[in-house]
Amino acid sequence: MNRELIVTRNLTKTYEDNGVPVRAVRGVDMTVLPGEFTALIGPSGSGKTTLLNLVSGLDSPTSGTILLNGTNIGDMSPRELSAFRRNNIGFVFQAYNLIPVLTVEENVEYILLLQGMKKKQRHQKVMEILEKVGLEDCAHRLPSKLSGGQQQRVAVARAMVARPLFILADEPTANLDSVTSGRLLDMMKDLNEKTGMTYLFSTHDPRVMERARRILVVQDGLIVEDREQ
Amino acid sequence: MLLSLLALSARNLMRNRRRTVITAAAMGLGLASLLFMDGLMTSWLDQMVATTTESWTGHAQIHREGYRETGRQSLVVENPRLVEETLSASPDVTAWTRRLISPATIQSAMDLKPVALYGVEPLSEAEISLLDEAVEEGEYLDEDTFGLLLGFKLAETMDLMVGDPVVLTASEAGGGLGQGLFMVRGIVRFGMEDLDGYSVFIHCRAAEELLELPGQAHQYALALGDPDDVLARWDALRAPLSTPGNTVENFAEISAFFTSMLEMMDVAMGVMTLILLGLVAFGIVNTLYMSVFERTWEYGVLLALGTDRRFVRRGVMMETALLAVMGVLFGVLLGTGVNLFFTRVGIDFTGFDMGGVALSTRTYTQFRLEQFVLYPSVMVFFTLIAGIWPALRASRIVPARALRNRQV
Repeated sequence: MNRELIVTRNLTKTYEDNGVPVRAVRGVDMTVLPGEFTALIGPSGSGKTTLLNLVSGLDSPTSGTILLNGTNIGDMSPRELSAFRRNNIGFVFQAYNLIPVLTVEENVEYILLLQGMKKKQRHQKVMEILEKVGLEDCAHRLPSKLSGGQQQRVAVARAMVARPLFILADEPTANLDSVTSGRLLDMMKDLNEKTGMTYLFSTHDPRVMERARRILVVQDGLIVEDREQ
Repeated sequence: MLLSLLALSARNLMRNRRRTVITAAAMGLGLASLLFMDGLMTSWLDQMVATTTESWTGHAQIHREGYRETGRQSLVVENPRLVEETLSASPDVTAWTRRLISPATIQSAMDLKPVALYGVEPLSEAEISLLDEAVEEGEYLDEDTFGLLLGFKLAETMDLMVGDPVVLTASEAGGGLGQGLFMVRGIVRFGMEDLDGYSVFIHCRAAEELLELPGQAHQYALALGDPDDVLARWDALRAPLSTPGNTVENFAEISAFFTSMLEMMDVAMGVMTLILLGLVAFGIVNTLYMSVFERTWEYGVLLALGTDRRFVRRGVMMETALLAVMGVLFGVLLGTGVNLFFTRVGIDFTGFDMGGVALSTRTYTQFRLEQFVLYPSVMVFFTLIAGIWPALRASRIVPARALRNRQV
């Protein structure tokens, strides 16, 4: 049985910026195992976000292979890829990216709705996860009525509610103050330990680095260091 | 899922209430304008039908085959006694009258003009046309065969007054020229150019003598009830009135004017509909496109989370449909209100002339079921078509790019 959750082989991504080719990812080989709490760190423009986008299938590589839970996503049609993301990947974005017209409950429920789950079951699952992130009292509020930290907790709940294979978190603490960041990361770490959920962060926040068990240092589109702590 | 999509679309529309309301109001105004114009045109057409049929034409006419195409005086109605018996026996015919018609000249002491001469039977004519009511000076025809009525414009042109003598000259059926001295007994005003400007009316017996056509007819004019009903039931009405050698035609068939007027109104409404709805469609495209553009990152998020692109397309189309429903509701309400107002108050078009028929009364707009089915349907269709482009635009958003732009 293949235990490797995320595998990239010689992954490259080159795009054009005002007609100038930019090699954002230059032959990355990376493996992430189930249950890891891993951080991709590196300066801005080093290729962290591009790597996350490639791993999640939001962007397509120029060359190389991506295997997610043993499946080569390069062989998938756009629709299959979309369904794969829906069922297997949770996202936490830097800017929270909650849908403003949906309440907290509806934002979290959205993925389950796409998966075709029955209403009663959806409600139960949503309330369970909101309780875990401490927002059960905010279920009927709109995101605009929440603080930044609360919004990001909703985003974590949305990412986790469907029990995906792994969660990709792109600079999740970049817009939060240090106290809120610490609390959010503690919560995610706690969920990782209790549920075994795999997390892959892109960050340059030292608080994330402190909590990560594994750190991959990205520089100029390459992983230049891989250390466990 | 559909309900969720509906709720999501409704909330998205209500995000920018002002823009949504302005767009729906623009659609509503467009639709209300169409409903009003349709109500007005329907009323004009009915008024023209009423003016023409009640004034002179009647609901149907009988002629000898070939008469209307050639106007030959020798083509009198075949077997007029049989025709008259048929008309008298028919339960559908409420009234009928016999007419002789010929080109003629009218000569006064000072002037000579070509005219259309009509020989009429005063009593039965009064049941078919408004010839008796159209007399604005002098008196209607009686059994005196020397009396003559003429249109007011012709009287003005020839400077004729009631009591003036005139001479009518027309071709006799046998080929010679018939002449007769008449006295202007009355001056008529129909509000129809050909009757007011170029026609004279004499007793049928006088016309028989003048044209040497005793007991003959060029035309029988009939009254058959409601004009709309006549057109709707025409095939059933025509058959029992047909006699060998003669034709029976309804007022729409007789008057090329009606046919062309109906076609013209259809074309005019079609063009107006296209222009108005085209403008509305541009507004909708703009609104929806702006809305999609502003929410690019949201669509990026939805797609990133695994939303099917079809779902995104459906979402935008659902917003479009809701916008259409709002616009149609507003338009129907406004259009009904405006039409209702002018149904009661009317608009004064007195003196306006449409194709030679003067609008003699106030015009009261009319309601038709088609107004509330056709135009709203067309508007919804146009709106949905207008929504396709923004929907495709939303579904083709590249999530990674949309999210990058949001995060920068």
